[in-house]
Amino acid sequence: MRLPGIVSLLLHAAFLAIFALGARFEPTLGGGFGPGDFTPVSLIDASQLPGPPPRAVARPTPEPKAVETPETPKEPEPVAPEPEPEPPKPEPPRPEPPKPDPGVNVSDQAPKVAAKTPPDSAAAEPAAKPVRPAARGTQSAAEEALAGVPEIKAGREGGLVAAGVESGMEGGDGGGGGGGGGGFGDFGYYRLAMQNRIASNWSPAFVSGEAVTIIYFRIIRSGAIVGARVEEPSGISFYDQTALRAVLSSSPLPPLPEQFPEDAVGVHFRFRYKQ
Amino acid sequence: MMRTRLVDLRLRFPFLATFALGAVFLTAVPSAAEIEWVDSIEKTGALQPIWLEPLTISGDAGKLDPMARAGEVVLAEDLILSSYFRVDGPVAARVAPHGTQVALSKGPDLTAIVHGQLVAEPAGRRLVGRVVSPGEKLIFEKTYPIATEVRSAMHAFADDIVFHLTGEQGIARTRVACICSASKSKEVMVIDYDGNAPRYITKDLSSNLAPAWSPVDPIVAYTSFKRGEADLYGVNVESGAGYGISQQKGIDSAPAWSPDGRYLAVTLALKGNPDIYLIRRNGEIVERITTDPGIDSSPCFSPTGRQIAFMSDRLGFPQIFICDADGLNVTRIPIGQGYADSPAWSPKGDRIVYTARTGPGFDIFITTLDGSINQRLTMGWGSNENPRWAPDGRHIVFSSSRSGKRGVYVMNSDGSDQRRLTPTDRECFYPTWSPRPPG
Repeated sequence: MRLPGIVSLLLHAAFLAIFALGARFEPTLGGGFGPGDFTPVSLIDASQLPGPPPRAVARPTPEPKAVETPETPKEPEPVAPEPEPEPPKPEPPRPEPPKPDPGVNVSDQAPKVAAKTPPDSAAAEPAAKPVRPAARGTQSAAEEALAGVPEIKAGREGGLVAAGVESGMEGGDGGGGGGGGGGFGDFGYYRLAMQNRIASNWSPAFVSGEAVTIIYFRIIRSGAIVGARVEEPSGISFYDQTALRAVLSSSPLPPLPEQFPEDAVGVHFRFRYKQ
Repeated sequence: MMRTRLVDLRLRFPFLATFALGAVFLTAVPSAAEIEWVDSIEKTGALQPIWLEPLTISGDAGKLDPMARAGEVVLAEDLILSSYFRVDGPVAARVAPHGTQVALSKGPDLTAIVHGQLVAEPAGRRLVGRVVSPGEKLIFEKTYPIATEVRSAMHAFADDIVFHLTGEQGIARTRVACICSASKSKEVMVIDYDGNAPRYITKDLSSNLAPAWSPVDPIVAYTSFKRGEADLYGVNVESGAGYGISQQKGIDSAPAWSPDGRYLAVTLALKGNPDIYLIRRNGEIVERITTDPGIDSSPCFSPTGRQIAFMSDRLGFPQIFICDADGLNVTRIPIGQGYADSPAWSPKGDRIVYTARTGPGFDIFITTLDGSINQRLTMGWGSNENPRWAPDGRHIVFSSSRSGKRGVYVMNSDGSDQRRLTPTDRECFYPTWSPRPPG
């Protein structure tokens, strides 16, 4: 009899605590189409990333697993606005070529409509293919490169790439020998494309205060994103999942440049939630 | 540059900071008034600065050189129109819209350099397209056969450049269909997305209206009065072959394809007043979607096919509503009390573009599905109507009477870069954008 009372008391206290804490989140909205604060983008030195840059190096080679990161669906996903997968259509039959309506006298001849397989315009996030594991040697070269990744400069003045996104890279230029540049080196366009694409799939609405999530993933030659996972949680699972989903739904990115020296590149993609 | 400026809505929208508190704050949400956005929705990204070299040739200079000069212009226009790039170089300087700054020497911020070479060999002519980094490292190279004219090879190269440099699919090989006045009739015309090669594909000698391009094949469905009353027909864009889709008693109009191309949402008046029905491609009625005694028309599907947006005057004035594809869960998009019609759902699914009355004429607006953000895209130059999306979700085609005679125009989805697509010597309206070609 006392126990329920205590539990009730605790729950009330917890609720009040949440309420008091929540009040710190001054409700703001930057606009439904994008983040409220478009922070100029800059690339950060991966070695300065909060968290364990050196450990990041020690990560195993890309597992030839799927893109889907293990922990994705644990929490109830509160986000709604994304278009859902293709709905089951009321009728199963295949698309029929339009025939002249029998009940109608139409002089025109029937069209030759090839019943092509309908490429569904809306859905179709292409699934990533299995990773071709990068050669060990190049991997360690990349690791060395990461140890002293120089700051990547291109793209900073362009600023405005989507909403407080920052990224640092490992892997990259010269396959161990190149030196200079790190990351995408001479292929600065790729980073820009990646930032734009991920940012366009990111809906960081309703953020207040400041939080940083870092998502780690690899890009393989085809441009597919593999092994995406939360590397540095923000402490708010909702943000982490939003960031992770932005990455996953951006796969595939453009194919890696033909003369890109590695078979894959690892990316620490930093999402900064800031109002 | 194009940093997106956002109206500061804080305080107007005490939104859910956390879901735990959502309910509490929601009670404080003021009704979403019409809010003018100031600037871009799409342009959260910077334009990539790229350099386009003039095309080079290898082989018969007499024939190839004019082809190269024409081809490089097509390519430059494609890259500019994609709205992904800032294109520098001498060719871009010739074709860039007035007022655009084009660098004539390679700046330090370039991200890629585009080369193209036309090659004539006994086996035929081809374009070798090559894109490299500023340090001349290869990004990609591809060969495109040139059959008769150089445009299609250039369009294909442009789409590949967009894909390799952005990861997105380009629209350089898409087309627009619209209704254009002929000598004594209004026929369906098809025109390349860049305004090239306009051609009529119907000879109905009647008034045609409201074409809708199938998302899966080269079929345009449209309304025609060729048998006296408004009926639905289809025409194959490639062959010109026509056929009847629906000739019910009363009007058959305003066709809109489902995303899989198997169904059409159309307006029929079987019970006297216009309602929206779902029909198959052969006209067979699947179900009635709206049953309101008012006028329901102008349907369009959401990109998932799960929902339909449409116009209804059930409140006494035309407004945009959304319902499930079976007609349930009807909600109005709260975008003011004025006339609103002709909705078109964005390929990404998050926005709807539509026509609204603004003073004596109409203008194009874009809204979120809940109406919370509603932005005007055209600004009172004549009447602007019937917006439809390009498959890339970055461009919108619409009709406008800004130069007197109605014409079909294209703009970016933030309202920028509005340009006329159709010939100035005839009246054109009711545009619809083709899907991308397969492959």
